[in-house]
Amino acid sequence: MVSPFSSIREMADALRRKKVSSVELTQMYLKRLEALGEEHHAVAQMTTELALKQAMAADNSQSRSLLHGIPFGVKDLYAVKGYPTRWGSPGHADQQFDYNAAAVQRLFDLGGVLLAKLAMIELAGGGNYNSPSASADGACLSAWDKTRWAGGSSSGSGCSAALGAAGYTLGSETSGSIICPSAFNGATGFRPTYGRVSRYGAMALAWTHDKLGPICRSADDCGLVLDAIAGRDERDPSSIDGPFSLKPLGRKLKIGLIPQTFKQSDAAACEKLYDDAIAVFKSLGHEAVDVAWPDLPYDLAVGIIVAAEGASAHENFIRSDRLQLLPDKDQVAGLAASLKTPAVDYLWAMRFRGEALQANQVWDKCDCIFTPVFYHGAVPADETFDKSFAKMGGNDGPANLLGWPAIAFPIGFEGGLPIGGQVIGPAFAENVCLQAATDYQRETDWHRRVPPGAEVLS
Amino acid sequence: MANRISRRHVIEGGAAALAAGALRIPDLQRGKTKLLTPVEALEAELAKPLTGAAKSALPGALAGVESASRARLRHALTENSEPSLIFKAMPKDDRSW
Repeated sequence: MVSPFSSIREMADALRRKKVSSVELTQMYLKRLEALGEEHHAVAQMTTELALKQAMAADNSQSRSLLHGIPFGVKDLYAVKGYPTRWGSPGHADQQFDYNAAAVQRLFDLGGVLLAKLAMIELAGGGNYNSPSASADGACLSAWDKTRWAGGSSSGSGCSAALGAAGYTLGSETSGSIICPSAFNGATGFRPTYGRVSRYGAMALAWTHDKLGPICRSADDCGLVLDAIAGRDERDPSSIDGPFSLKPLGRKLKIGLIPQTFKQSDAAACEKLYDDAIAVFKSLGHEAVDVAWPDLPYDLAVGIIVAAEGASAHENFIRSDRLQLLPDKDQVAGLAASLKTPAVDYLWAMRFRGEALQANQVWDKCDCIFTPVFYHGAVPADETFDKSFAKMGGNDGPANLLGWPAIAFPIGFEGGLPIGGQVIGPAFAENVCLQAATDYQRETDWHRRVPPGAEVLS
Repeated sequence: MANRISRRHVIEGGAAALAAGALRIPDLQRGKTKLLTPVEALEAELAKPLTGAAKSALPGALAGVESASRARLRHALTENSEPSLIFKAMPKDDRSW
């Protein structure tokens, strides 16, 4: 029996056995997205007509992959021919591209069915937004509590996946935009190695930082989707042919634990969930070892790079009178100020990036690192981040700067809100992240919990 | 071709700058030219000046850029290190992106 929360393998099996049709799956998810997506401000643009056409085509053709006939949603940062691509911004209301983003086209080629373009933070948060409502679609609300924020910038992707309003979704991350909404919605999100997925047709925030990846309901689903969209693309010069396998290492893992500061953030509940998760890993035979990366200004370099590249990528818009259409005025000011990022600062950051590769020494001691995403659940939807993020904690060190992959997944709940953990791996070692997360999810059911209100529709 | 166009633009731009300068010099001599603050200078580059909360937030945002500049000076890099930028020379028809 297929439910809105079924895994990709379950849906694929039901489709193959003709227990359900792609049109039926599509109608189920369209109905849920229209209802739940509306309530949570998770949808930027329904693609209903396209979805039904693709579902009918899928039902009437030979299966091309496990994803054949399975409905999905994409962050509104991916170009989809025939539909607006607004990048979450009221300043881009009329924008359309006459081609599909490479990742979207790959899914179409495999028989995928596009339900909707999903809400996101305007311009993926470039310029440093300070409010959950920094989006053309308003504040996207957590799947678990409509007074809380769904996280960003892939807000609608994380929320829709957790609500069972899509078979799976695609998001993107420059610095936290897959991992954060995965944590705030209790979804499982996979940020691949930089260059693993072609950025062609996806909005650039920072060319040397942007990563595209899936947000789903399980690590296994994430692996299947990543496998489908990964690969070299001539149209994206940063895309890679690097070694790619999602197969487990064939041995138990050495899981690195970095120093935490739970007490400074009043995060006793998270500390317990983190310890419990480590106990799960150990019970599976994995070894936990204490590690540390060099104490270097990673975040400073990320900030400078994203400011400089974002200012250049969006310069026409920033200088235009459309800039002030953005609802988050701190972001408006931040985007304007980013035009003044000195070239020498940018080049310092890009030189520092090479120096920061010394952080790879951490992989001499472990296969991957496990750490909480944040120490608390989703922040209030009506508070600015300068207040709400004060004690959120969390630290992914050099991971984004160096393009390392990470997978985020729920490790428990605090006050009805999911708490996310993440497994960070070395560049090109998505398989290690996946091995740890799938092992964990085989032993736990946090990722199978259904948000209140999401179970009533079917 | 591209070189020629940019040279022409540089010349035209230079002429425009000279003309603008010529207009300002008498003002300066009379002490009337106002020196722009960083906020005003940035706003002059935008299609229209910021208003309301965005205008109020701009000094803080600019201070953030300056603060990052100061902070990165505290971390000196190895002499002669290369930035992580790659440009590959290629024949004109080889660019596929």
